[in-house]
Amino acid sequence: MRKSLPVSALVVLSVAALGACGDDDSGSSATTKAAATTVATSAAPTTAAATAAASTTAAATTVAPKPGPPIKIGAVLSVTGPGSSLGAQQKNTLEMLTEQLNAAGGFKGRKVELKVADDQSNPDRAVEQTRALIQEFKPTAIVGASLSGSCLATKPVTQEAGVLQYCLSAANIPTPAPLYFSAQSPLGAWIGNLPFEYFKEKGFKKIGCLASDDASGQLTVGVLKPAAKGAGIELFTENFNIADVDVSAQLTRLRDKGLDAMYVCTSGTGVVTVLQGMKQLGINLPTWIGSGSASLPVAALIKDLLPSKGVLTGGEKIQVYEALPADDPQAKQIQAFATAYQAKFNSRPDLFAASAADAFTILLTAIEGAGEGANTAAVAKYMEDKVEYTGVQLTYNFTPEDHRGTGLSGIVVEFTDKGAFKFVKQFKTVTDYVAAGSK
Amino acid sequence: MSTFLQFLFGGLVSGAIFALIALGWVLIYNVSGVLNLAQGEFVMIGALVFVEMRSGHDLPVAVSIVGAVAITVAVAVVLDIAILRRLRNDQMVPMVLVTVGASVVLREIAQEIFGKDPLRTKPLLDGDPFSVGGATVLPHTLLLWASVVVLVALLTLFFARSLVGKAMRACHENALGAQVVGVSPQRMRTAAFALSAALGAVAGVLIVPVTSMSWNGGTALGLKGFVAATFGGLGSLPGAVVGGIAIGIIEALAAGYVSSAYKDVFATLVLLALLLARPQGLLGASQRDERVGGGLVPRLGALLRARTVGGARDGAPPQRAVKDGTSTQGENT
Amino acid sequence: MTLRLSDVHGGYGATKVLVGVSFGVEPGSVVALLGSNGAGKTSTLRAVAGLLSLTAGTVTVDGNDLARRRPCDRPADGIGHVPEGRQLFAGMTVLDNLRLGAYATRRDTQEMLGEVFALFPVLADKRRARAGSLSGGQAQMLAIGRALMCRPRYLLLDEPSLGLSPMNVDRVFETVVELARRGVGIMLAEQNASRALEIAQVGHVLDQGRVTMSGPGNELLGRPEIVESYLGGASA
Repeated sequence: MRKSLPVSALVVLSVAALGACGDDDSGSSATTKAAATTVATSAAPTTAAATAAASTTAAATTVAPKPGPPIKIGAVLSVTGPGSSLGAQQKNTLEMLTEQLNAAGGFKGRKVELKVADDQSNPDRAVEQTRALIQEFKPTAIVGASLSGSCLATKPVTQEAGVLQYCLSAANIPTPAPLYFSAQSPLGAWIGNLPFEYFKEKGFKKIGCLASDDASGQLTVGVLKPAAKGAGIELFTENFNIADVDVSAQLTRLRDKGLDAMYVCTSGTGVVTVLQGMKQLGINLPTWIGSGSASLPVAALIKDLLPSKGVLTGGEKIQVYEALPADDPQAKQIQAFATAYQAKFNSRPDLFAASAADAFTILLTAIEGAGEGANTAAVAKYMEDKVEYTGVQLTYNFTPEDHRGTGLSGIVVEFTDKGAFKFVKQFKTVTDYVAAGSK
Repeated sequence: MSTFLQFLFGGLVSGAIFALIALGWVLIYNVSGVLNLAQGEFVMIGALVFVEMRSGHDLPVAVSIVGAVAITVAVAVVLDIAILRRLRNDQMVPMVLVTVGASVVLREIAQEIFGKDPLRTKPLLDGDPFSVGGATVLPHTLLLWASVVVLVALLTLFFARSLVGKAMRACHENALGAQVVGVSPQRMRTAAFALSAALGAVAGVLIVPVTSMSWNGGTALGLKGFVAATFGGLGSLPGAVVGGIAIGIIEALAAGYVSSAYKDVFATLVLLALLLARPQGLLGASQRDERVGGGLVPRLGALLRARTVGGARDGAPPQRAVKDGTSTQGENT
Repeated sequence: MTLRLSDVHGGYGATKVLVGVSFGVEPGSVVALLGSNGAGKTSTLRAVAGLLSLTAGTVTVDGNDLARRRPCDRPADGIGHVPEGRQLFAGMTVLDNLRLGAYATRRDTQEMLGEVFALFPVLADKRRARAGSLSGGQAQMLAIGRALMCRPRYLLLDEPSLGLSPMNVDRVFETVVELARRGVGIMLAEQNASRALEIAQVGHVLDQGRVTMSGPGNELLGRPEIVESYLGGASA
């Protein structure tokens, strides 16, 4: 514990660069926030440096003035089950941040109470856990779930109970709800617009997609079809069963189409099966992998199967945090968080961890900002009107119409033969091909 | 032609693996009448232990294979001795339920030990694909085929030549007769679990470089093996091999020539059509020749008949009627 | 040196099929169990073979209680069994059936094969044939031969004459006498009462799971009222 203390100081800095303007008047911060309009400052290097000193003293100073009631945050995450590679990191992140905040005297003087429940990657279980959490723990807000299925299943429960929910998946928000927010870049943009922006830039005309017949594969196909149409690129699709041992028949069909690039429309073990088949058939094409596979475990899994033309995916800055340019506005935040996470859990944080960190901080900011006793509607209103946040994953600016509040980082990364990612390029703007093709 | 060959090779890869798993199903089913629904978990355990030993601890390939097989066999033997032996031999439904429970528990344990993410190791024979008649094959694939051929040959020898192998066949032919000559049905079932775990583990070792494996990745493969076993005629060992390869090739040809979106549907339709035409499966014993073994469907039929007629005579438990009610008829001089 | 049943009670679930059966089989003797269908003949053999659970009483072989021995231990305990319906391995060869007969003991297999083939030369000729392809008489010989492969001291025979031609019945009964002459104790359950009593030293008549009458074979055979009232159906 002792040796993690310096790290915790860093995290407090990174999580709450808010400290920069909060320390001096921690007790009555609500009015100050309102006046400042920007609650969470972007962590400009200068202010960050200033707060490095401030945050260490914060622990001492914030205990003394009248502390507000604790902020209660619940979380329903896929800690076990098929979604566990997301949920486990998210649980780690929330627990680490809570611990660091409380060790430093709380979030601007208010202790944070966290309770994490495991939905076992099962939407039914997620509903049960959400109900139980609301009844027993009475949180102001719930972070989660990790998977879109669980998010959508729990949404009616939180909305009826008047609890804020911040879903961590990239799922679409079919019908906006006043107390429901969602993390991540919009999925369609992430897995559809970005790759097609890249394909267009390269002048590709024909793309082959080998899709698994499970949810991840069919979801990807559903996005790629309109995206291809919108981008004016021809898309050829073949299917396989996620339990298939061999997909060379499907790949043979695709190969004979004279493709410019491949899109691996699946996740998890399916990616290996597809890349193995490409190797067997000698299909050496630039290859894009869907977002579900843009994670480190998958990168380690396929490091010896990469076609020499490169395997790409839509990434996030945290995946290449060491290589971020120094003038990137998020660089300090991301690096501080990633270093702390790595030190504590001895594993690299993925974008799932980053999205949980952002959700947590945004919720705390809004709850604290709306003031003691404010109801959840007021907190949501505060999020829509006042919160502008430069996070570990993305930057956020919510409106009543947009409860995702964020776009696309536009980052393209390449899988390396070391089992990691390397930065390829960042698109400043990405055309919405999915929308164009859906018309 | 080269396209057809490529489809065929693909089908033979899946088919060889399905055949190994189907053999595991049939072995246990024949000897004890138990449908072991943890069959796919044997594949998973074999694969994950192999990866852990080879890549996690840098052990030699041979040692890792032996270790993977040994540990999987140990798990199967413990499952049989510690749990199934506590049930009466004629309690089929509880036994099958126990194997369902075992599959869930084994998955959870595997998740604890090996983690949640898929694992993989390098191919046993690494190298670039080479061309056969215009189609390409990976070196590892050749090794996979060779291993399956050798295993099936060894298994055939075991059942044809060794006394233990014959005793296992005897349990299937006539459970009461086997007991009368001193074959312990419990020990034979343990032996069958061990053998089928070994086959599953080898299947796991062979596919983990190709597809990777995660704690929950065995179940679907296990079911594929069951379909293959049914296709070949549940109860027939040659049928398991033929059924596995047939399913693999049908799926590959359907994916190649018809539509990959409907290849599973296609394979299922072929299976249904076959079962309607030949309820005993491809190589299962026909009704007339039922005493040789009999597939699942005739067995269920026999069970129903035995129940409705009121069981075997002398008040013996109806289970007996299913198992040995076949050899008494038609023996007049 | 006896195979002995002492006050044996047993049944399947709630159905009691044996009610206090007691008798013994000496080595070298033939003991016939008689009675109509369902009287308990087969159940008595199954009780000795361990296939029927006892609710009371003991079965001992040469003084050793068999209560804790499993059914598949019987060959090792010196008991061969030709069960009801023969229960041969129909899909396997004659030779494999015989070899499996020695599965429990696994000694002197070649020597015993020689003895069985000497006893039933037709089995030697058919050694490569599938058991399922044998005629009824040959199948019965195979069943007896298989039971002999473990060199039993006692042999349980369940309806060996059932479904056989008269010539084959003669053949089987001659073999039984020969085996007894060699010192095997034989427990013979038979519907064909008169044939059984001709070769039996002792006969026991069973009715509803009880021994209702016992006596030397020729004595029982000489009492026509017994043959008529208890065994009438059998000679028809």
